[in-house]
Amino acid sequence: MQDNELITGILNGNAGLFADLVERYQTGVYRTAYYYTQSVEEAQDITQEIFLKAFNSLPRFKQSSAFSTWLYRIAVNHCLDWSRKKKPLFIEPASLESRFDKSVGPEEILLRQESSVEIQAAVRSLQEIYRTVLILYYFQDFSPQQIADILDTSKRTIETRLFRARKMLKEKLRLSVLGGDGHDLLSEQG
Amino acid sequence: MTCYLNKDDWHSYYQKSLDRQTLDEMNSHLAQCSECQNTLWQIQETAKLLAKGRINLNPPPDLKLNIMEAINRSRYQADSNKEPPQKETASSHHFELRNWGFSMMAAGFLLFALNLSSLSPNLMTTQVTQLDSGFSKQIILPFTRMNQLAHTLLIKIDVLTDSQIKRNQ
Ligand SMILES: [Zn+2]
Repeated sequence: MQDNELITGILNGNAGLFADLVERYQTGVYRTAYYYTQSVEEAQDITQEIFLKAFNSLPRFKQSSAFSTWLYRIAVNHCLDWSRKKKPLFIEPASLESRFDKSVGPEEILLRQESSVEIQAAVRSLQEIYRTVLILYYFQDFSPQQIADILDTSKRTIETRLFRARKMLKEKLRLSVLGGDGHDLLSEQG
Repeated sequence: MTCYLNKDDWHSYYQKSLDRQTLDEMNSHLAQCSECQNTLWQIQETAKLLAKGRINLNPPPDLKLNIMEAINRSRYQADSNKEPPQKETASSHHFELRNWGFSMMAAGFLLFALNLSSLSPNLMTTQVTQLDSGFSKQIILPFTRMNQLAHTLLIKIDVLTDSQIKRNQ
């Protein structure tokens, strides 16, 4: 069944159909929450809250837009609310290392790479609007148009934010690998 | 030749999330414009770097179940908030309750039971649509139990109502 068919069924009283929507989107929402929180426990709680909020707001969902866009708007707003309320715990790389040594989940093995942690931390340290476009574009593979729909802004704004976010990330990481020689696009974009 | 630098499409181009015609136009432009080549190269480098920060984390297997339970809890709370608040309903004290209190409680039970039985069509659909899912049993189980509970309650209400009528006669 398509998203909209499921939603019609749910709104007609068949709440159990919401499980299908959860099945469809839980991985994406959970990973998004993880990128904002850097904690599997928080990501789990936040994902649950996001879906609960979506379920309760479903009668107000206008089916003219895609459900995924609407869901991710709730998700991003919820993650940003969380970030504002709760300052992320600073974890020393050493203690992080020992934490992952204890973990047995195969899905966490990728996190062992220090560069991965560094990059995620750099993304997380950016201002909300830049952090969000980087997460949605580079980590979650949303197109600039989809991101514009999620954030209720223009595609042009998203492109500009992506270029600025890249510049800020470059400053955070101080990596020459990102340096475009000579021509700086941002100075031209204003 | 138009330069696409100010067209704000290079991130879309990199993801190929543009229509065929626009992609072709940008392709042919790219072959001749070093500025746009540089722009695209920057996006590519950023993507390569950030690829290291990507995670393949999967949600815990019980997440969906927890979400559906939270939803059912919230629905039940929303429904019961519409009813007047009620005190304890210990069955051993049923016959000591005055007529008014008893009627209120019976009404509460009835609403509760009706609410639960309305879940059974969901149960059927969940069962049909998710037959191949390993979690379907986990999801159905609580509904089945709640349904059984609803039936037990209905029988109890029948019994209690009968004895109440007898007492009133
Ligand atoms: Zn050009």
